This record gives sequence, C-alpha cells and structure tokens, in this order.
Amino acid sequence: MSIVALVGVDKDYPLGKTTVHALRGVDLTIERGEFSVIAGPSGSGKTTLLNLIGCVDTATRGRVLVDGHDTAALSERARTKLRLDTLGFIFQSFNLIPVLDVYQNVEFPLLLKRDVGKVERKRRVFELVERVGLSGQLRQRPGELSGGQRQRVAIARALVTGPKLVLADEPTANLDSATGHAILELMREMNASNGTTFLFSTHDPQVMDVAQRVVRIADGRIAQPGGGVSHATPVAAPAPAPAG
Amino acid sequence: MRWVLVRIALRNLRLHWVRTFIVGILLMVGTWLLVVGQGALEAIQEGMRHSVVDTVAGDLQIYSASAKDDLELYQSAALAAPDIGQIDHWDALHEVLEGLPEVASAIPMGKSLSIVTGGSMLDTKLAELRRAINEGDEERVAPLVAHVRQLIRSLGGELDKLAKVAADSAEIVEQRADLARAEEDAFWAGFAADPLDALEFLENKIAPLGLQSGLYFLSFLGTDLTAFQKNFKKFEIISGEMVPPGERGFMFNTTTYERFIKHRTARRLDEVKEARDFEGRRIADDDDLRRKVERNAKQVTSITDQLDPVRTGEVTELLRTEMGLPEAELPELITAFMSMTDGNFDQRYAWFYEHLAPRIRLYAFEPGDTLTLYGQTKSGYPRAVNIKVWGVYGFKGLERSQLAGAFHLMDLVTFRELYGLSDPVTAAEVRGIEERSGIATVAREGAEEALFGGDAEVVQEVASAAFDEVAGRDLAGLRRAAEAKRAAGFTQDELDHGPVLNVAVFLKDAEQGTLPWVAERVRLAALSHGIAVQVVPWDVARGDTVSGISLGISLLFYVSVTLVFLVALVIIVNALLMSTTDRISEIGTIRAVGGQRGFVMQMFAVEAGAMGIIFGVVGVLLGALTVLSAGANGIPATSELQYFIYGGTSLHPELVPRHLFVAFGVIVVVTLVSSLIPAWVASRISPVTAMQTKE
Repeated sequence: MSIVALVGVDKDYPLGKTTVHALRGVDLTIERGEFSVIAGPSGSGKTTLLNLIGCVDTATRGRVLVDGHDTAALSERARTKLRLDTLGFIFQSFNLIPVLDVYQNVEFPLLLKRDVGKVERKRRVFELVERVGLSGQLRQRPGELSGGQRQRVAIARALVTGPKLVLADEPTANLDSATGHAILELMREMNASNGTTFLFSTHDPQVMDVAQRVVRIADGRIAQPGGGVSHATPVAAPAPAPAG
Repeated sequence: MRWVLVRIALRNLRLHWVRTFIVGILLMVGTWLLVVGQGALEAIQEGMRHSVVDTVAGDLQIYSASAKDDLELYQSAALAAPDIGQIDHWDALHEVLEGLPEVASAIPMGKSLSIVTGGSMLDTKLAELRRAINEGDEERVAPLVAHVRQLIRSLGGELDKLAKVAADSAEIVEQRADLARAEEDAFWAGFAADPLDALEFLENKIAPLGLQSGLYFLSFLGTDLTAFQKNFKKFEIISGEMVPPGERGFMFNTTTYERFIKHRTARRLDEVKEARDFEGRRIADDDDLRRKVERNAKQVTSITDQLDPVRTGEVTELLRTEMGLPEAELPELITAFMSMTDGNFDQRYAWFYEHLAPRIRLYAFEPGDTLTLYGQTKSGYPRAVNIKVWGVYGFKGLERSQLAGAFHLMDLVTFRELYGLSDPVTAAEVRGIEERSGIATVAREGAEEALFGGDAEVVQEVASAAFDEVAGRDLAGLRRAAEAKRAAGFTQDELDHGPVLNVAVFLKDAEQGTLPWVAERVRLAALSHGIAVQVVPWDVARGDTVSGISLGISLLFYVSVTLVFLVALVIIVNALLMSTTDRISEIGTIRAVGGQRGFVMQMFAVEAGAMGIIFGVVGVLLGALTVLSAGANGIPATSELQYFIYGGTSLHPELVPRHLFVAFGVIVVVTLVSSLIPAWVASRISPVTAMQTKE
C-alpha cells in the first residue's frame, strides 16, 4: 500500500465572490521510502497539495489516502492523531516553539503522544539531537540559534516520533545555499538510514537535484510525470496523472 | 505532559512581561480588595452587632404576639410610634426565660417620646428667687434680684422688636406698662416689703414676655436600670451617678445631651473644634464653620443673660484684659472674643472653658434637676410626670453616634405611668371606676342599639347620678400621696409585676447562625406557659433603617469587587486574545504536529491560571498584610455613622484564613473563566496556518 494516494482531487478556495481552483483533478501516489519533491512556481498549488497530504486541510472533491486512511472521512480529532502518529512536519519558517529550548522543542511531539515513557523520550531526543549535530546547543532557545540550526531542530522534531512520512514545505527557502545543502544532506541521510518517506515542496533547483523524483505542478495540475532528474534511482510505480 | 503546559505558560508570561504585569496588577488589586474587603466587611458586621446588641437589643428581642407593627428598635418614635403591643406580665415571662438553659439574662424595656420645656432664663431665676425667699436665704436674694432686674431691662429691647412686627398693639401697650413698672425702683422697694406679691406679678406678667429657651423632644427607654447597666456591656456613666436601685430617675444619653441640651454657643465651639481636629477643616475655607463662628459672635445675649451683675463684672474685666480692650462693654467684648479665626481658635476655646463656661449654665438640664416630661399615653391621653435627672450615660466608643445615642433612660415604673401601661392593681382600680360609673363594654355590632335604642335616658341618668369621681375624696391628699409615693421610689416587686413593651434577651452562647432557632425555642417555651410573644434576633429587631445601612455597605463592597473583576476579566480576555493572534503560527504548528484542540485550550487555561495563582498569592499576601496592619493600628472612625458601624472609635479587621482562601479561589476562577473565550478562539486556529510563510 502506498503511503499517499490522491485520486481526482480538487481543492477550491473561496476568494471574495470568486472561487480559486487551487488543485484540479490531481492524481498522485507516493510510495514508502521515497525522497520526492513537488516542484512548481509560487501559487502553483504545491503547498495546497502538501496541506492535503499533511491532513491539515481536506479536499473539495476526490479522495486523499494517507497510510490507508481516507482523510476526509476522519474526524478532526482522528486527523490530528494521524498527524501525530504518522506524519512529521518541517516548515519553511522552522516554526519552533520560541519559549522552549532545543531539547524541549524536539521532545514536544513525544509529550503530545502520551504513550512514550520518560526514559524512552530522553533516549530518542538525545539520539536525534546528536544526529542533527546540536548536542552542544541542547539548552539554547530558537532565538539563539542560526537559521540552519533551527531547521536542524525542526528536522529532529519531525523525526522524533518515528513518522512514516515527513512533509517539508520549502525547507531551504529561508537558508543560504550552503546551509540548505547541508540540511538536504541530513534529510537524505535520514531517508537512507530509516527508510522514512520524505516529500518536499520547493522551487529550489538544489532541492530538486537531491530528490529521487520530482512531481511538477503548475496551475493546480500535475504538469509532468515525476522522475528523478539527476538521480538515476528508479522510482517504483508512480501513477502519473493525465495532464487533462 | 502537564509540565510542558506549565513551562509554555510561564515562558509566555515572561516573554510578554508588560502585558503580564498590567493584568497582574489588576488581579493583585482584585485579590487585595477581596481580602481586605472581606476583613473590613466582617469587622463592620461585627462592629454593628456590638453597636446594636450591646446598647439596646441584646441577642434576641421579645415582644407581644398581638403587635400591630414589627418591632424596630431604631425607628424614630417621632415619626409614627409603632404599635408593638405589650407583654402584660413581665414577671411571668421573666420566670419562663430564667428557666431556659440558653438564656443568660433578660431586660424589660419600652420606648417612648416626651416633650420637656426648658424655661427662659427669667423663669429659672424667678424660680431660684422664690426658693431663696421661701428658705429665707437673704445672701442669695440680693444677687438674684440684681440678675432679674438685668434680665428685665434686656426684655425691653425684645419687646421693641416685637412691636414692629406685631399686629395687636393694645396688648403691647399693656405689656410695656407692666415692663415699665417692673423696671421702676419703686417696684423693687415694694418687693423688699412683700416679696411674694411682687414675685407673683413678675411670674405672671413679666416672665411670659421672655422668649422660651427651648422645647426638647426626648426619646427614652424605660427599663430595669440596674439590669440594663449590668448587661449592656457598652454602658458607662459619663457624669452624675446611676439611678440607684428602687429609685425613680432619668439618665441623659451623652450624645443627645451634648448635641441638643448643651449651651448653643459652647456646642458650636465644640463642633468647630471637632471639625478642625478630626476632619482637618478650617474656619477660613469652610462655610459651615464660618457660619458657626458668626452665630456665636452674634448671639451675645445667650451668654450675657446668664450672668448676674457680679459675674458680668468679672467676665467684663477678664475679657477686657484678654482682648486688650480696656474701654469695651461686655456685649462688644463677647462679639470680639467669639469672632475667632484659625489662628486663635484653640487658645480661645481653652479660655472659654476655663473662664466663661464655669460662670454660665452649660446644659439646659443637669444632674440633680427635676424634669417635667409631657407625654401621651398609648391611648392618647396627655400625661406629665416629674422625674429627677441623676446622671448622663453613654455607650463606650459610641459617644458620637447619633443612632446608638438616640435614647435616654428612665426607670420602668415611671415609664409605665407616662406611657399608660397599667399594672394589674391599677387596672383593677380602673375596672372599679368603670363599674361605678356605669360604663359598660358594648360589642361593636350592638353599639347603636345599646347606646341610642331603648331607654337612652336611663344611661344618662345613671352616669350623672351614680358617679361623682371626686365625691368623698381628698384630692389634695391624693396628690400628696402620689408625690410621696413617687419620692419613695418603688420595690423590685413593683418593677417586676407589671407590663412591658419588649424584652432584650442575652444568650449564653450567641452564635449568629443559631439565633433563629433559639428564638423559636424561646417563643415556644413562652407559649407553653400561655404567653404569646414574638421572638426575633437582634438583626431583625434593629429594623429596616439599620439593616439598610448594613446591606448598603455589603452592596458597596460586592459591587466594587464585581466591577474590579469585570474590568480584570475584560482585560484578561483582551490580553489573551491578543496573545492568540500573536501566536497563530505557534498554535498552528502545535496543531500541525499533532496537538489536539484540547491541548491548545489547556495551554491558555494554564497560562491564565498561572497568572491567577502567581498574582493571587501576591495579592492575598498583600491583603493579609494590610488586614494585619489595619487590625493592629485600627482604622479610625471619621464620621458619625462610622462610630456606629465600627462599633467604636476604630475598626479592627481580623485576619480570617477563610477570607484568604475565598479570595484566592475567586481570583483563580475568574482568570480561568476569562481564559475560556481566548482558549476557544485559539483552539479554532487551523493547522494550515503553520504552513503559511511569515515573511
């Protein structure tokens, strides 16, 4: 079973008296273990697509399946639980909780999951903080960190619950290219070692270079069947949507 | 889990410290107000309880079950005397009460109103002169004659003034002639020869020309004075002595005595002094004080009339030296002296009491005087009694409270006479007279027939023929006997065997909450002995006026607390709503990474709750400190009413742990409630917002 499957998805937003068709007839499948990119210019619908997959929004028409769950059929509460248990989020603006330090930010999703014990929490937090290379900054707060460091904290936070799918919305947009590269490398490494599925949205060529598969989107439609651009790793059975 | 909420809350409070500080100050003020207000309110309720219970009410009040009106201890009898019926046999009720284990003591009482006239200075001096002549005291006669002649001279001026406005000039011509005669030396030569004849002329023709010096309404309580003094803890003798047991007598209450019976000039000086010393008012910028000083300067005769020629000379000399006016006459000197300023007030006030006051009569009635009280019996007959003033009493700490000091005291036996409460013996006598006079009680329905039907003439005949109330009686002898009886006082038995209007009961354990139940037990106990009474706790008996004060104070407190908290609530809601908009992205993120709506709501509740707890604790501590300090130092009473509600000269709030918990509880609940709306708003923030870029 694919981790994500979208079938005939439309997403309309009311804008004043008119309606914006953010997504039109999108069909997309993401397999487990993929390291993929949704690419497109601003306003193309890539963030909307990510929102639907991330269960923070629901489709106007069509079906969105995440880890086998039809997100539209779930209650708000169940969707929130699905996000907590199955998904990890990395945001363009890092979105750390400003009043918590590095350790506490990473620990936060584990605290929301009531079933992880104290010792296990500590183990996982230390492990991830170390992997993102911030062991020395455990007690610093986001305000005291550089952009790259903050995004590393965000990555650790996204992975600490052991999610099946990590969604990253323009993760390098607020970083210089060297830092951005390092961040991408880190995520790539996580993908390789844990088999965690990564799905990015970006218009950054550097990101597309790292991705196994690039799904291009324009005007709310999948513009080009995805395929690795610079990486030769074949991707198993994507079902590209017809352009019309 | 919970710890992270607290951590987030505290960090947020610190991050937005300005907002936290403003809201915190409000919460602190609210909590402080709650602690201090509760302390003050309880102290005031307790103070009022003492002011009522320990001066007149006792813990319970008993009055007749057939009363037409409710008992209201503080209702002015001048307005409309409430009809509270009467308890016929005080001794029977007393016995029942003494048999009850709860009852510590019971004091019989009744309240009424009388008029007493203070004669003019001429009346007083003529009376003194008559006494001196009767007693053959030649030494006193000469100065009194001089004084009387001086007063007669000053009457001429008053008569001139009157002539200008009066219509009946014939009468005035006649009065002038009388006055002229009284001023002649020839008249006074005749006085030496036949003083009594001359006195009669002066008393009948001249004295009425003088202005009456005053009509006094005296509200008084007739009671077992010995029991009253023993049981009402605030009772104290100010001057004179207590009416001895078994004696008839009258005790002035110091508050009313000072306010209404004291010499007006002295009273005004006292008022100015009080206003200056206690309220910090100044003659220069206070219209009321200035008017008082002006009146004192104008009303010269109120002092000069009181001085006989010898004293006039003394005072003139003293004032000439004091004022540095060697040529001036007395009226001029007094006007100059009484025209006081802030600069010389204290010095002149002291001078007044050192030199002037001892030479004039400071009070219209003084201990040792006999008052003639004019009153009405319950059924409306005029009645007058002579009663000796023994002393002046007050209630400790309440000397300045008009509410507490509204009534004077007299013995119960005289009260019964004045009020027309007949004891069983008199009642039997009245029945005897009724029988002999042929008066019969006729039922209302048959009244017309009985009175006018049949042979109406017979009724008339019987009434006139069979009854002559004075026949065979030595009226003068009866009067003498009555006077002698009065002078002889009464026995405790006479006091006990008779009717009373109401009874104050002190309980051994006067727990406020149990009073209604004890009252009911007392009522039933009396009823089981065939005495139908109503028994009410002191706070019911005090009546609506005083209850209204109590209620007003409570309302003031609750309204101000409510207002403070409403404002706090609005501000907290606002602050937290601002906090939600500031933190949309943070909240969105928390929701996106899997935080439920409930978690977000809890976050806000904890943040508000933390504020409530932190500032609540500080406010409670500050409030406790304030109460402790106020309790130790006392809040001084500054107005007449405050003496009453404080139950004394100052209020001493006590620190009650319950108040601290209540205040703390209220503040936490208020903050939690105020977090509800912002928390709900925050929980509706969509996780989508986390995805929106912030640049």
